[in-house]
Amino acid sequence: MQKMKNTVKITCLLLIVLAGFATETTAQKRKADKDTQNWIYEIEPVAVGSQGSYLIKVWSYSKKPVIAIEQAKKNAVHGIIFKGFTGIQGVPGQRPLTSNPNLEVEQAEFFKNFFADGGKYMKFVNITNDGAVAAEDRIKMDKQYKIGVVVSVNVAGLRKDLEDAGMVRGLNSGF
Amino acid sequence: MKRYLILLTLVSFFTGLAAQNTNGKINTRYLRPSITMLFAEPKDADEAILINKFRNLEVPGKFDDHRIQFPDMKPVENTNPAKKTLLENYIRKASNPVIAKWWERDEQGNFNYTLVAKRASYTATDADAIISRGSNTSRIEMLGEQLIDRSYILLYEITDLYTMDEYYDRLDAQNRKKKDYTPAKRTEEGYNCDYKVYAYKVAFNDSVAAEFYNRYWVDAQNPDKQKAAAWADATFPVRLITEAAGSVRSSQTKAKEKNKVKKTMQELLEDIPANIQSGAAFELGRKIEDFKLKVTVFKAYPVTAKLGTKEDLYTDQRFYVYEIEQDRSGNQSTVRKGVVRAKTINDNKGIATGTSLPSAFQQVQGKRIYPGMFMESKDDYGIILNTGFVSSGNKAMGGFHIGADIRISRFIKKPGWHFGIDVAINPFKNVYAGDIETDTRTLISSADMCSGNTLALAVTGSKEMYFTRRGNIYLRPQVGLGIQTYSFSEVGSYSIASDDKDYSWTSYILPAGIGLGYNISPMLSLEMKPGVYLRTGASTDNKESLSQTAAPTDDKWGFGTIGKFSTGTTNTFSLKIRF
Repeated sequence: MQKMKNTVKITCLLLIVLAGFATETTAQKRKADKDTQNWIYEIEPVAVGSQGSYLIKVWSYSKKPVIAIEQAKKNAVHGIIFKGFTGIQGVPGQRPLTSNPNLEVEQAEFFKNFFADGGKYMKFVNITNDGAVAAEDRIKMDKQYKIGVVVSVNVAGLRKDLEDAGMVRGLNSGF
Repeated sequence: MKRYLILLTLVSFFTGLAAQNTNGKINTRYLRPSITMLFAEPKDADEAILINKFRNLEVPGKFDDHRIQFPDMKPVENTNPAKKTLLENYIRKASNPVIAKWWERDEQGNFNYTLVAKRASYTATDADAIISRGSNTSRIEMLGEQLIDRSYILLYEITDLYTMDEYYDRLDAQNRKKKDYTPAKRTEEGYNCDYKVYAYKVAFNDSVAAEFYNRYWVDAQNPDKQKAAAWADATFPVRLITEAAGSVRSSQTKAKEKNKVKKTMQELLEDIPANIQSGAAFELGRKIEDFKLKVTVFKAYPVTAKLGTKEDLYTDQRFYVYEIEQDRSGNQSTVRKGVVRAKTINDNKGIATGTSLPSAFQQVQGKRIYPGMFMESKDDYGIILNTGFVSSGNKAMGGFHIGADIRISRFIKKPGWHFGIDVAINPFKNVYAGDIETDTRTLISSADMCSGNTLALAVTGSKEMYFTRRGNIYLRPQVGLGIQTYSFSEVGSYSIASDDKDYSWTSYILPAGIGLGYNISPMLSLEMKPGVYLRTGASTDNKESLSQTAAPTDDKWGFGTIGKFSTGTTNTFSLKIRF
């Protein structure tokens, strides 16, 4: 009987420990999602992208570098639609695809789905590295990591998709 | 002109990036430095042979060979107070052909981009290749501009070159002052060479590059006779980064050896430059930041990184793995997280396409490593000094322990292998040894108390093996071959002279053991090594074997088995200091 009690105790303890790990990971993911929802990121150009695309570096923040890398794609597409980026020598800056600063709030439902995990945004962005984030792009700041990921955003495709959905005006639609 | 403007823009852009790196940002990538070797004028015929051989040596593979035709430097005495200035003036003049070579200046004074682009392609990483594919501008060609700012001129000076005969003469002259002078045994022939190398960097930063383009750039599309003529007096800023000195010996035994062709004195002389070059490259590699290999951790466990034969990566080459931290004002610093050593080396010679295979590394100390961390080479000499104590049932095999190991993995291309020497010294005082005699005389009787020293010395081969991810713990199987000696200072009421060969006994030993070590830091390890040994019967230095007829009942010093094979166990506790 005593042996059985011990087994139950050990099992309970193990379950608590496992639950702790799971909660921590989920919490970190939630924090990253929250950062993404608040769109805490920075964008800088890397080089002139091939036709119809931008080659940019997105700096995302998370306690776990892996999570920051996951969020980078989402941040990159968001940045291209709503923020744009300033140029550097040899690479011109780009304005956001929309000039309506309230678009995200006005079309909240559309963009919630668009940027959902595995959402449509993924069609327009590719990570452009050899499989690892470069050492200079993995920086620990206080208690979180700032991770820079080079991505290529298919701006032509993204613009067309948003035009078709009526989110942004076409380039030929005039003023 | 258009070309010129593009180049100017690119140079400004990339030198800007380089400047950023000096402004609180960590420089995390290895861009192949180019090496130009220059020499101080030979002072005699032997030096001329040596330097002529040196001139034709390829530079180590991790550098680009940037040889130029340039006269040797006139010898300058070390005592000359203007030496530094004279050297700098000489190097400054050499900077002209160095930069001319980068831009492949032709007889008409035209520059072109071919070599810069070629070297840039070779230095580019997989990441560069992948980004270039996604871009309209060639990022790889742009890298070339940064390479020019990593032009190094190494000025070699032979400070002393002398034969082994001269070496023995010098040794004898030194030893003659001592009381018990005996002339050195002149067993070797060959040469000794002392050298010095001065490492200068040719600056090609933003402002220098701009001036270069403004004042000197001429190409086939933009001819300019004035600019072409101005080039004759062009020099570039140079800076002495560091200097190193060393000695090299190239010798062989004078005795005839069967089945071995002996080298001529000239061949021995010609062996020296390669040794000077590898020694200098190693020393400078430790001192010059641009010479250190830098790379990103590609994957963790197994730890891999995209370095290989192109960067002269060698087995067990040591790297520190860092995390880059940034404070609120944007200043970056590195925090060491672990130490790794190259385990399997990939052949990555060729131009990166984005799919090159990484080399594998074994973590040997530290905390968990993650992909994306920063790795930097921290070459060590591969020398390990050990100190501690050995306990054994036979105290003659134990005592105070010192030892040294030299890593040989680089040469045999297998990780973890060491060649070493282990010594244990133990004094004994007032110990009963029993009746010990040779065929001709009784040396010790059972009533005599003895005092003296024991020594166990073995040359060993061992392999450090790692089974855990972080490599803080290792196993080190070791075997050896050596001798164990007794030397007596007192037997009974008699004092024994130190040169009394009857009281100096030697056995052969075969020790073996498995060390269990813990790497406390990159430099320090603690090790416990249980082991066994086989000891032969001892003989005196007069080559007489010993026999034991009445061993003491409490025999702790191995006298009971002095005349026959014996076995036993040892346990060695040591602190290992790695250099």
